Amino acid sequence: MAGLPNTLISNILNATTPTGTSGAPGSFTAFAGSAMKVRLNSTSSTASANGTQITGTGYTAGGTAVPASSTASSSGSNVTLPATSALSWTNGSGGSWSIQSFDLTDSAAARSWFGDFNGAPISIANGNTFTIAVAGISIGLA
Amino acid sequence: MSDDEQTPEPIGWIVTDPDGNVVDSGGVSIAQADGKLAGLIAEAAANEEGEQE
Repeated sequence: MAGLPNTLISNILNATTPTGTSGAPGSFTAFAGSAMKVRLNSTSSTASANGTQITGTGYTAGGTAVPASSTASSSGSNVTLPATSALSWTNGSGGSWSIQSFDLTDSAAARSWFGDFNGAPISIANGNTFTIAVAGISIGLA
Repeated sequence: MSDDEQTPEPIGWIVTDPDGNVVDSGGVSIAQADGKLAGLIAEAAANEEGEQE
């Protein structure tokens, strides 16, 4: 399961339909202006809630900021991330991590997209490193 | 390239051990509006086509 959280669905719908004053488009609630983050979960995220975030040494709650700007979508193309360099986490928790899904959030933890990892669940033994390759996540509307 | 050869799936993620050896890997992970919003967009597009005819 992958897609958009209900909050963003409503945000998009309200900003593109006559839900504003006197039939004008409603306003779009903007995301925070700093680098977005990728958050790792041990369970699947859903449209209504985040997955359960992994814990332990090697992972900072809230996720890790993307390293650079992604190439903007044009003509409906997908946006991929991370750009330029990979994102990595080395498990120092003392046990295994089981990684099921990700959430893309703004810097203030507001969710924009979510999805299961291809091949999930992914087991990361203590001492091993999980790396999302450049363009390892692809996000699209069609 | 022969007909039997296939383009490998792009790597989306890898797991490495402390020596840097790859112990697991997977393809690109996709987040797509394949549910409610995609349906609404398709419906809006269909309505627009109908109005133009």
